[in-house]
Amino acid sequence: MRSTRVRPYAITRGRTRPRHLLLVETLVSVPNYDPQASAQLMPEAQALYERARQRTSVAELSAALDIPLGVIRVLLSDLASQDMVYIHPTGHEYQYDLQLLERILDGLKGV
Amino acid sequence: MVSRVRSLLDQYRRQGARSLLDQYRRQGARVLLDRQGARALLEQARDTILELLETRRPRTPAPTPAPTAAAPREDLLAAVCAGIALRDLNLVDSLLAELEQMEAQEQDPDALSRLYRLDHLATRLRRNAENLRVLAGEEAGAAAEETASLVDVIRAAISAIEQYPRVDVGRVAPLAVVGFAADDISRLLTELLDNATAQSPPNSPVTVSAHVTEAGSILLRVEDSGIGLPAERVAALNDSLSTEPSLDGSSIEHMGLAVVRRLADKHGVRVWLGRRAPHGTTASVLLPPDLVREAAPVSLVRQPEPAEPATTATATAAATPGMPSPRHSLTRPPVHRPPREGGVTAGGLPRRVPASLRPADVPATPRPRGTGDEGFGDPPAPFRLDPDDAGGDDFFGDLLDFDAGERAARGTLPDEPPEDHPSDD
Repeated sequence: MRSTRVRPYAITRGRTRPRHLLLVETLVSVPNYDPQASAQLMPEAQALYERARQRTSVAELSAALDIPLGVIRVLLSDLASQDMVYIHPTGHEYQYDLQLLERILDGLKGV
Repeated sequence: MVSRVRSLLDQYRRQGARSLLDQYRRQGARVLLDRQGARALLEQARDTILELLETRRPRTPAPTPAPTAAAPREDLLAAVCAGIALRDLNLVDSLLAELEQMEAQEQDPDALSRLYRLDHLATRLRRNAENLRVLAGEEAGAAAEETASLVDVIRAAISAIEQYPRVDVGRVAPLAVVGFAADDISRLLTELLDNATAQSPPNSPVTVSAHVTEAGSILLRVEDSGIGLPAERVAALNDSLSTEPSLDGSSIEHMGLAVVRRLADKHGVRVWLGRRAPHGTTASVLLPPDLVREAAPVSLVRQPEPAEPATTATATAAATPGMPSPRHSLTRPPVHRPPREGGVTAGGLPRRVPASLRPADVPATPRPRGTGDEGFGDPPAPFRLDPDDAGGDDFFGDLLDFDAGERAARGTLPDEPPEDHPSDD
């Protein structure tokens, strides 16, 4: 078995820090689908773009596609910067609200 | 960052592979400190690589001085080098597979960034070992069976050069390269890209593109905006690129060029350099039509993992062969590693093993509507949760409920999302 020759760092140009807050439960969608723009994307970004036409979560994308989460986050963030993907505001303010975070944790444990 | 990369480059030129190795070892030690398995692997890799470096030293001058009498000895040396390089490749492959798994699980951006640096160093080690095999007149590695898209051939080439962030992928024809040549074309491109990035200003981009010609061949172009080469130098280089490949004194200095010549000759590929207006150099690679294939549809959709009870056992049983015979064993013997059913996707990405949120027996059903046929290859059909897929539906429903609950809890309405997409149900 060979290791893959296209390395993950080459897909993101070595970037690991997305410019947007993308938690696993964050929902994303495509506001205005453009097939031509899609055709010009690299394969991974294209797969994300096509999938996100149906509003979906980062966790779902990661589960459905063969792309490491670290790569997904950076690529989604790139798409969002070009307004190709809309990141739903869920959890946008979580990082400043510990109480809310704890309540979410409790809720998740209950699920 | 760029200056750091530059200084690393200078360092590498001064001290050669040994400095790369040391750097690698330091990075590795830092990250893998308390991960015993990976650490043992790394040490094993280091020992073999050191061994390789020892054996390599006498090899380099060997082809230069005695062209006639020492021919059998040269053959022997080449065979020894090729054999050691093969063992090296096995180790580096295991190392890369290990790193892939760690990268897939890593959540912290800083740690991931360190893993990427390790990955990058290991990938360059692999390139060195493969080049050594090419120069020794052997196959660099087991050829792939399936075709590889041009985009992936190009990105694989970019993965193995030092200054990979500087390379822009321009327009690339939606075609593929036949499996037996794909990796060699990547290796050839790697050397051209490495040369282009090294010979142009550190902050200038290098562009690579691929076009179809009327004859059905593919013209790949690597363009840099360095100061360029004088016309007579370009002519001399083109002469040496078009002649029969052989190792001579200049091969030591221009190892990349020697690798390009070998690989181009092997696959009937034409490579030439040209001057680029207003300044810079263009390296062109012409792939003959018989290496070109239709691109397979792009699909990164995870397939349901088949149960693989037997393969792991056989792999482990075969994991401790004796010395691999360097002359004829091109398939690398399987190395012991944790079972990974994943393998490689069509897109060249590692297939992750962790459990899906979806129940294992329910495959991801692509939307039956025929919307997926525009443009580049065959993009995956838009995602749709199967109505029968209770698990997925529950999860999605939970998320929406969660969202609604949160709004209620906060007593505020967050920004309304833009109009939902028509395909949104």
